[in-house]
Amino acid sequence: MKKIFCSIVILALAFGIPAAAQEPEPETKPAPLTMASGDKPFELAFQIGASGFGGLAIGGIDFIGGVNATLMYPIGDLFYAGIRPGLHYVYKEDTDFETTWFHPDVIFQVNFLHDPVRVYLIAYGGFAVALDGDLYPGIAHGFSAGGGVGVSWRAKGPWGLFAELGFRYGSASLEQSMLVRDASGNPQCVPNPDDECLEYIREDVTRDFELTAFTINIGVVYEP
Amino acid sequence: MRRGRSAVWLLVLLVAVPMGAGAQEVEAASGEEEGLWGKYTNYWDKILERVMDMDLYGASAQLPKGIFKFKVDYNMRRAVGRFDNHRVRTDMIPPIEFGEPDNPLLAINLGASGEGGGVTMQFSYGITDALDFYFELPFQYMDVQMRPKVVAMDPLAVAMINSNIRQHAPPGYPEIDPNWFDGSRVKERFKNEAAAWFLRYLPRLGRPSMGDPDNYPDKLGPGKSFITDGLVLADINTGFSWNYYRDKRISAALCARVFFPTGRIADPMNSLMLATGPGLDQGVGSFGMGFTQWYDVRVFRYKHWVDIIIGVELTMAYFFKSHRRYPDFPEPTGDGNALLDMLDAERNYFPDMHDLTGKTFEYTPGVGVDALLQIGVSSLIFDVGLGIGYSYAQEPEFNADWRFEQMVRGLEMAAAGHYEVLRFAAGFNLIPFYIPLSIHYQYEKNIGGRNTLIFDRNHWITVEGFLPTVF
Repeated sequence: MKKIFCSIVILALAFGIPAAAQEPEPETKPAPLTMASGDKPFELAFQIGASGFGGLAIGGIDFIGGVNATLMYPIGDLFYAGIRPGLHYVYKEDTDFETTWFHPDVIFQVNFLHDPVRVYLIAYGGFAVALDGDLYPGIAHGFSAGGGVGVSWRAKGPWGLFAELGFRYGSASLEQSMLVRDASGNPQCVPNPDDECLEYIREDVTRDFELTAFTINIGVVYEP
Repeated sequence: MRRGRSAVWLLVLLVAVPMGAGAQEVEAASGEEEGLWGKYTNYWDKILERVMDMDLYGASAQLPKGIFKFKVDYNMRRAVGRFDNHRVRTDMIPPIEFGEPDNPLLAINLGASGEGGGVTMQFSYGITDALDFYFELPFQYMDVQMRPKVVAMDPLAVAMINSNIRQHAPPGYPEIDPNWFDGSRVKERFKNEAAAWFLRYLPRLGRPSMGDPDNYPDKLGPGKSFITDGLVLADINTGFSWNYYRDKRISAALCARVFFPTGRIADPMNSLMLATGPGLDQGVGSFGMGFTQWYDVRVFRYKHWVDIIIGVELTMAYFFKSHRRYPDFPEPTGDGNALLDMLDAERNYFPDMHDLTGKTFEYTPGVGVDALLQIGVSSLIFDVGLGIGYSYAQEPEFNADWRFEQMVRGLEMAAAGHYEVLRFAAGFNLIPFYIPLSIHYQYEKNIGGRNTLIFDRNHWITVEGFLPTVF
């Protein structure tokens, strides 16, 4: 996968050697390069978190839990934009199946405070898929979106902690071919003039998945 | 088309970014080349100097901190057969024979063939110099046919089937024409007629039909095809890789990943594994986790220009249990049962499973283990590698009705298997020309195996692009 880096190093060396031959050795390690504004290194921030909530039973959801990872790109000091692939397992008491949601969200943050404590509003959303984790016929496509408020704390160094309270709504649907059953639950045969049952009646149905949930998201943050 | 557009975007970004904030800094730092091209090359020289100090080599190397990588992998392959349980090359699905192998009462070739490939897009980012995060979107395309053929039918069986049809089947039900056969072998010009009769008769034996017996292309014969509508999503996976040890000679890294069941599994009414059609799974159908361990030994280094590296890659994947649906099994008819009493008295291939219709079974995919030993030589622009790979797939676990499990195992499509491949890889990168792209080609050849498909024309083309986000 990363064979190329071997080549990059060699190439880098190839370019680096002539340059080193022409220039005197620097006495000290050069300072890190910075943005034009000169006050902050221009790097992505990274978060990994675990989110969950239980007992509120909004939308029939008894429990929700999951993980997420975030790559954020600072736009000035005030905004972060990035992506947040996340996964949520949802347990509903009133249905026969459990659902797992996967949402590769796009996120946008507005920061009100900065180091060492950052307070932010966050909005997220985008394409989402839902899976019936019990019987897997394929994925239901849809969307999800939400928002929340969070706080991130960093003491010394790039590592820190964050916590968010958020709300998410999602909707997805799946076309599925299902057997037609009678009142007793038995499959129905395709009518045959000879009264033989050689095939069963199927119909295409649309299964809808809905997600309405509060989540508390807690994890670590890495902001170089 | 998509790859080309990506490359253009990458170049636009790379050119545009140094014109902004980063370029001002570079220009201020020293009396370096001016102008757009000068700024661009200075920008890359600085990044490469930083990478140079890290002395990266081998597959265990991670992206340096702040580097974003975009990779597109294109693979094409054609299934040409199968290694059976005794490592002997056979058809994709073993022929089904009833009676004596030398003089079978009935022999059927399920006529499976196909080709396909995939496009994998991977996005990765160097969180620290030793730790990467990646996200992979795999897509597949496939064109698989299942065109069953009756290879042989004993004249006694023909007479008995026709007699059963006359006694038990509805009036006017089509019989087998003895003129289709030369002895017990099906004549070439009647192979489609014989196959159509068999497909029409199959539901009477308690199995779903494998195609429309009345409408089919003459060239291929009756059966089913499975052609994806362009590229379809397979199982998305994401994870972290960590280069936890590195010195001048030895480097080791570990990758941990999770798989999401985003790829469809085949419809049980059209599944190659269940011999109900040519449909193939595009994913595993359940969540999974996997690990890859890399070891690189740099056995030779000529200054900074040439490296010879022996690499070992070990991969393991485990997927959790899921539920799957049984196919819709009709109940065997009277004449069907009479025929099965003669052909398959033990009902190994044709058990009556109509009571399973609409129900589900538990399926746990087997653990997969891969190992690759490769030796590679890298020079300034080009690199080549030669490797030998071994892949093992454990038998999946069925928690299903015993009749169904016996039938699936009898088809040998869900058995433990392994295969060995020879791999040749070569590539070049465009960084000497200040284009942050590399292009690699790889070819794999099956050299052996057991209970596994054989592929030829197994070509891979990989394009990688790099975008530093630290200026």
